[in-house]
Amino acid sequence: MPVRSKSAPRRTSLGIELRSINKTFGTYSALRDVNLDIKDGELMALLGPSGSGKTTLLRIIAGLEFPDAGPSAAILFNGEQIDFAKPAQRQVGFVFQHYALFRTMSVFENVAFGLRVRPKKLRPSENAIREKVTELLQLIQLEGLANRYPSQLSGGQRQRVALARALAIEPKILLLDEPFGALDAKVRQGLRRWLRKLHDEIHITSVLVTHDQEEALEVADRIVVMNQARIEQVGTPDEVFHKPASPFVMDFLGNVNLFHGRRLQGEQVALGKSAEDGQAAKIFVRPHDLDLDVEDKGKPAIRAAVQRVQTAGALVKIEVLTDAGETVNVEMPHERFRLTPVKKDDVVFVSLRDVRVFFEDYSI
Amino acid sequence: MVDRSPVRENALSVAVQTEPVWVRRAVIATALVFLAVVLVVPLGAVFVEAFRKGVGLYWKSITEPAALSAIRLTLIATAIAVPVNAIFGLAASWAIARFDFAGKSLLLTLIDLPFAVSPVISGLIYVLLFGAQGWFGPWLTSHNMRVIFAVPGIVLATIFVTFPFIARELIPLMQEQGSEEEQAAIILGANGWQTFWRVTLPKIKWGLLYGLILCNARAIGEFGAVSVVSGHIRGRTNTMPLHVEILYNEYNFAASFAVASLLTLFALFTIAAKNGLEWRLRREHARALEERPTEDVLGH
Repeated sequence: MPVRSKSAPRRTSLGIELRSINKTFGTYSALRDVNLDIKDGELMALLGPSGSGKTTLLRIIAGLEFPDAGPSAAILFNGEQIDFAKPAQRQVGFVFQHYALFRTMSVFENVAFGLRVRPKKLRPSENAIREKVTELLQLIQLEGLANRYPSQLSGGQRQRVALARALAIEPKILLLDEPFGALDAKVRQGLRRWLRKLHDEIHITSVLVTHDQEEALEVADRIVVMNQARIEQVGTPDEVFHKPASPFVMDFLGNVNLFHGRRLQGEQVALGKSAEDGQAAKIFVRPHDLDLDVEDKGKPAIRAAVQRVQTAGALVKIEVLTDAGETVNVEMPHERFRLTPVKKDDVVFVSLRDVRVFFEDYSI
Repeated sequence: MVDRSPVRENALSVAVQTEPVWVRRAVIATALVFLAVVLVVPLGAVFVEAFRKGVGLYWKSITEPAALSAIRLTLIATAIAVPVNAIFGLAASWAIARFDFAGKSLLLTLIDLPFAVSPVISGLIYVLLFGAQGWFGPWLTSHNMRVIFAVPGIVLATIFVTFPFIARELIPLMQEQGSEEEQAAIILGANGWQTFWRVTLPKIKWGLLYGLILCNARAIGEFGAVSVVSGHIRGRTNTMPLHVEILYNEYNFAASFAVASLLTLFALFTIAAKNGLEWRLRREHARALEERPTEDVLGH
């Protein structure tokens, strides 16, 4: 957790605070001791593989699930403890992966639903509802389709209606459960840029669950990387991508090559298993942080043979096999490839430019 | 169950037909002749026999006190059994589709029991429970209550044999639809009552209506179970099907067929309503598959 410097202005309103959240389903542990602060107005992504607990965490924030009782377990919305409050009392907007639009209602009625079910005293007048819904339909750019039914809309349109419906109750927090997961790639990209833009306009505290690292990196202010019911790292997209806190984060965010080695002295590491006895180390290198040379230039490098060269794409992808029998993926820009073109079966020397080293624990 | 296969498949299968013309004609003719012998002729016979001795006698047969009493009792039993089973069916299908609980598969199996058990046995169960020699018989007698050979027994037997119809129709429907819409409604601030009336009921209304029609038809026509518990007391514990039987056994054919013709008319109405609903369900299903416009581009 980042330490707040004393001179920095203290933020008065924290959005969501989660303290020691545990959740078990029977014998299966879905969340273990999760602590998380989501700042007011930020867009936070919960990123992780399926089964990592991210959706369970989102549903706990929404009030669709409750955390296991514990002495220090607590959920706070803007400083107010709401552990067992029902979803309606939390004033959250929720967007489901499969839209969950009311199939028997028109687009207009879907968006109006949250206003119409309010107790009579709090219910806006028919005119106010009409105005609010029209305004939201303009926001999602579907004002012409107010009388359509969900079955007559495309996937992207449905998800926008679902978003408008969630926003109609003016929630304090917007929760999105894999909102673009059911859409095809092209629509997904357009929609997530649009969501980012929308968030910049309305600044509502938002939590987005996704298993797509690209989506998280592109959309979120901060990312929570989750694995096996725990939080691995919390940080900005830059932090989690460039300064991963664990091998898992390194591996999950983008492609990576793994080398084994041993610790020598201090932070020095020797590649390969033949090195002197020392603490075992995992050395991670991203494919674009590797250099290829066609001759030995005297710097530390690994000898390898080219297996495959793929030039179609923004980067040239080269697969090489080291003498130790490990497959390594290298990526480089076309300009650099043109300077040192290689082809299948060429002998090359792979040098490591930027690495992350994780030492394995002695404890077993 | 409703057949929800897309209509389009038929068009495809025509194209790959390879049978010679005479085979096709023979198959169609067999089906039609069979249908005529087994269904159409007997159905026609009911009406012919009913009116054989004139409209006057027909009218008299269905308006005499014993007949009216039978009609009234059938309607009472139906009017109680159908709503009770609608509530049971909704509760059971809601529980099975939405929750995981111990005994769920047992409940699913038990719902089918009335389909599997002979109606006569269903009736006998109630005689064993509430009859003079039954488990609760002495208690009922001492409190001056009658179940067997009285209206309560007939209602109970009718409920028993008809309870699978609505539940069986709703369970697959609700399982297919899932509960995300209800969750969305709850998060938007709706209470349980609003969620049921505004979200769940509109989703299942055609399936529910279909189940109601089938349940209703069976409740009116039930013979076996009701026959065992009724005691056949004319003017008091006779339902329409039992009244038909009694008249027939007395060689009073015209009156017997007159009352039977009422049941037949009701059956025809049921089939028409059922087909209308099936057509509607299919159309809604097909509409959900079509009419998907292509993605529009989000402009800024």
